[in-house]
Amino acid sequence: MVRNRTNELLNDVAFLGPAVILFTMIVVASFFLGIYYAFTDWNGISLTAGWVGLDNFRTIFTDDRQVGYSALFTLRLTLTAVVLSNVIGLGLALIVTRAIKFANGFRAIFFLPNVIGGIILGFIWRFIFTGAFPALGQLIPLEFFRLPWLGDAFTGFWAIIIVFTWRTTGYLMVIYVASILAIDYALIESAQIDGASGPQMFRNIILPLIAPAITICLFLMLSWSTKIFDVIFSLTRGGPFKSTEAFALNIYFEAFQANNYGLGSAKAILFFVVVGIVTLVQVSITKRWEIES
Amino acid sequence: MKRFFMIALVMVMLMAPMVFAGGGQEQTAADGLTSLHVFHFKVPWINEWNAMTDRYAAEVNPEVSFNNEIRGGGAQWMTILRSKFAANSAPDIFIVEGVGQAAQFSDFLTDLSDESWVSRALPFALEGMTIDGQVMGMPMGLESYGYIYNKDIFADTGITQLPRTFDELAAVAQQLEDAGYTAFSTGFGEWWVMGLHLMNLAFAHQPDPQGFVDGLNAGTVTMAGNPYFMQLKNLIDLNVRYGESNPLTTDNRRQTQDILNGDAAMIQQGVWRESQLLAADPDTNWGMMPIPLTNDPAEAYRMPTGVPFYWIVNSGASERTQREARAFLDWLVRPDGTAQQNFSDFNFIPAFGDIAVDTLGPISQDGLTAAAEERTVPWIFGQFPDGIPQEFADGIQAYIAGRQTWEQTLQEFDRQWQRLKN
Repeated sequence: MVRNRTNELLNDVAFLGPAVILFTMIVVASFFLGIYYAFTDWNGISLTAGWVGLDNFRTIFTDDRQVGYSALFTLRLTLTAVVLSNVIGLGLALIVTRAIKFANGFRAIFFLPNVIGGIILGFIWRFIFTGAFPALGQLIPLEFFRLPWLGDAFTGFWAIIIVFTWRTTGYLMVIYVASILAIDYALIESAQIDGASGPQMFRNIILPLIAPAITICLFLMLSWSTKIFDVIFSLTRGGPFKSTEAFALNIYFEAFQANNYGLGSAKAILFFVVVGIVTLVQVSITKRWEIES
Repeated sequence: MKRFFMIALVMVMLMAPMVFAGGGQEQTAADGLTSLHVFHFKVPWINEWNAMTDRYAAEVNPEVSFNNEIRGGGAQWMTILRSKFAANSAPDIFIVEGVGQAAQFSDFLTDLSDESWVSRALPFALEGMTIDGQVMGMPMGLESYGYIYNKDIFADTGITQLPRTFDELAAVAQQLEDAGYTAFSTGFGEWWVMGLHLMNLAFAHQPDPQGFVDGLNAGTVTMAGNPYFMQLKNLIDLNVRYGESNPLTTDNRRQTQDILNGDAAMIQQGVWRESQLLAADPDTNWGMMPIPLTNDPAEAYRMPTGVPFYWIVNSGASERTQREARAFLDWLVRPDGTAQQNFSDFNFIPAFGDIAVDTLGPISQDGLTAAAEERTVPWIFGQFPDGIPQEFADGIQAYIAGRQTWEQTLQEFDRQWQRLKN
């Protein structure tokens, strides 16, 4: 009996140990270091860091207008991206699960943007917006191509939405496809026999049955878009005039460009708390209307 | 037996991370060889630089080997350098742009005041890296910026004399427009075109630039209301009025493209663009002229000239490595033929009066001529606090976009300076 228990313990240590140690070293340790630095005025390089108490947090709330703007921008971006990506992703999933030609080909094509890294995508689209669009605008008399893409706050915002949605929908589509294919066909058939129309079927049969997938997709999109960094960094670098500076970029610029590592850490801690609360609330709400089929 | 294996397995698994963590950077060679880890951002030099260090290792000092790390251009070289320090694999020789950037490395600077090149360097070149009377970095060459212009377009338009005042610049821009040319490709989508070089004009033309920066740091002067900063508004307005459409998306690549395609007659850039322009279009006659900010030609017709970077010897390196690093830097600028070759390889204007290079391109030549005629104003942006250039660029963009007045822009600059000063 005792021997059995030691064996189990050894098993646990053998298989969990390395992961726990690495996780502790890389994630947990730096997390707590970050909390420590949030209370200092460290510049990121020097050998000493001075303790400043709550000064950094005071600065954030009283002296830094850009933080508020960045938070609001991230919120706007998140709401728009979550809705658009999920609607389009679900729409695509419904299309490619029909018996249409080349369904697998379409799936691959829709998924493809997700395989390319965000930084690369940003640079490609930067060229499209500032190089290809004006060139097209000279050929085609369409106002859309002649807008100052990336050159003002409005087009900057929508350019980011376009690229980010384009990148994420494929992934969400795959999750929705898996969930739709897992629906028991008997349910759909009996609904058809009962004479359900297309929209009725979608609202009363499909939607409730893929609720777990919706929870996952909402959660993924929420956490991706609140933490969005790479796409914006390569697309606009937060410009023009900081109008597209999402919260993660604000933290990065504070810590690594203005060399206020302490202040940057303080912002990161706040960011962590807010994102944590938002995603927990979302998961607990959507969990509630999931049903067992 | 099974248990023994289990325990052994656990031990191995527990050891693994330690092995990873222990993997070190310390590469001290056993056979008396010193490895010099050099970090700089001059990516265009990469081939010439490696050839030069090979030459040094082969002919001058066989006991030295080089680990060259050249990161720049699109890469955030300062971020990379900082991460090297954070990861405890700091280079033995690295560069900073001036005392502003040097401040964060204050624990790692070495006093180089006793080196033999100190007495030969141009005095103003040393000033940029002198802290409390000690020379903390070695200047190498000079760079200047201004309006790079297409001489053929100017000739075609009938412009025979370069503008020496702001009003003359405005007249030239109008003349170019009348002839069907776009005068400027502004670069107002590139943070350093605005945040470093454009803003530098207003600092450099102050009667006492150093005093003005000190005053800002002490809080005794402001940019708002200062005549040179107010005049900067007119220069920006002129650029926008006679510039390309959608200036806020024009980065430095687009500027280069525009002037190469003849879509612009002038771009605000510097000698570092020269090799690219010459390689793409050797037939056009290129030139560079000062950016006239004010209407007094004695003050306005001056080329902003400065030391783009200083070599720093890392005081954290071992005694012997530091000695070799100093010897290498000394050799780099020694006026016995080696320096001439180095500078002409790099197409770099020497910061040392006793080194003559006669192989410069037309744009560098215009910079050198201005320096020789003492028609220069200094580079002050090396003293800007970290993060300020980006704030400047964002503010100028917001002004151009009509989000705020120029007065509000300058007040915001003052506020940010107080927030970010060292």
